[in-house]
Amino acid sequence: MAVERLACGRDPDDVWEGLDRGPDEHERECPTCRAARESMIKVRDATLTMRERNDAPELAPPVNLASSIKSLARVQVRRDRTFSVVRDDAGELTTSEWAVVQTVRRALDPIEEIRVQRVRISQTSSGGLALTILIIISFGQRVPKVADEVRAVAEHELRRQLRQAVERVDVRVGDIREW
Amino acid sequence: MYLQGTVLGDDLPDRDQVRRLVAERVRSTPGVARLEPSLQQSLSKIAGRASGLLTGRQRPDSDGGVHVTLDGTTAHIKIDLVIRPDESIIRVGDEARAGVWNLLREAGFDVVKVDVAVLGLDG
Amino acid sequence: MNGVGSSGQDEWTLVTRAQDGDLEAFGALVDHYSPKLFRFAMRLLFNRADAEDAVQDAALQAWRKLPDLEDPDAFSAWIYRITRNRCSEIQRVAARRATDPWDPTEMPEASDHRPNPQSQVETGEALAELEQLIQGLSDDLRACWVLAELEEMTYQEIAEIVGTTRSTVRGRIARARAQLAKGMAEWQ
Repeated sequence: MAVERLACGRDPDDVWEGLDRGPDEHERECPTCRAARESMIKVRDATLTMRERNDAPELAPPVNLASSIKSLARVQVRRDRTFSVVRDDAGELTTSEWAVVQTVRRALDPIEEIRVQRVRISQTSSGGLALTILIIISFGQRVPKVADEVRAVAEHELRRQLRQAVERVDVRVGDIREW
Repeated sequence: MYLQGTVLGDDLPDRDQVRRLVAERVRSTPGVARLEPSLQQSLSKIAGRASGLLTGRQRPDSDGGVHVTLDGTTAHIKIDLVIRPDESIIRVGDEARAGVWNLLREAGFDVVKVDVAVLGLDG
Repeated sequence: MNGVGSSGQDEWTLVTRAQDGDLEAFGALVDHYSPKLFRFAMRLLFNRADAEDAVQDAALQAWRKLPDLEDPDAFSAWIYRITRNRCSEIQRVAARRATDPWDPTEMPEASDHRPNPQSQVETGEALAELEQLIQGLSDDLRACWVLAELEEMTYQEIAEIVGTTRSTVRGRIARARAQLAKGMAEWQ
């Protein structure tokens, strides 16, 4: 929906765009445009002052805002995102999904042709591990070759971390681009 | 009784002593970066404001990463920890578990259960 | 990709790691965005306590819903959008409360949703006048105008935040500007 034109037919947007240059011939003559320019200049100038005050203390958040958000986020970390690694008479060793994901991400870091977007780990119905890795890949790579390398590195790392063979590794290419 | 540099007397150690001993043993396990204090679940019900009066209540009633339950000669320990990068979750986790288990058996507990949760890597 | 955080990790990396559950990465995003989101919420709500609530709620909602964000590059628009929606909700609640028929004795000024007084000594009267006029804009116009003029976002970014088209955004900004200009003209 367009803004109403001024009485003289001019588009207010054009008047606004033209504020920095001096008034053109029409704007010098036309009382509507003159009045529009004048009020718009007031808006522009006050807006600039307002923008300059973006860093003013009254617009700064309370000192504890960021830390309180982080504390509350921490509580929400889903406890059910942990799984059992070893269970015996002496107790249980569990690990969070995030810890395992981190190790896989670290292991994949050196592979320069890719960037790891997402790593998901889950347990299959038979109790085995399933890994899904979403990567972005740079131009000119042979996708199957890179995917195989990713798969091999991930499998190796999981075996090292958990002494379990992984049942399934899905490597998905989300995008091909430069970064 | 004398254990890890602490004189315990003939009785079994109490909760605080156990917590301290366990924490020391875990921290000295190779590959452990730190214990990870966990927050009480009840905090999720408090939606306080950063600037408001509830800020004090948001401070976690932390167990320092070691949760101890003692019942006579039975000890149940839960440990949350973070390992160093490039370490193996199972190697470090199991070594911490075994270390604490042995420690508590040496301290005189008959039945010992040690649960270790590896929550992440440091860095 | 933008640089965010003390470790210099780009935003794409922080967002994707946070999506996988990395609290530290999320923390870096919170450190970067919470001051901007707070400022944005303040300009919509004019009340510190409400703005704080809005940003805190929005950030926690973002944390819960992060795994569902398909395009990590869209994080900024996404979190601004959540914040904006939270602000609208808070305003709806405040408006309902102000007209609550069950409590006729409660004066609107006494509710804690009233705007905080601006410091008029320092800011000058034109600025104070503009702030008044901005408060008088409708929710939609104000959001678009604030994002364009005070947060200096492009029409495309604003469109993604408010969930509409670029041309609608352009129209709203033009209408907001017309209203503000009219108000400034009438003021002496």
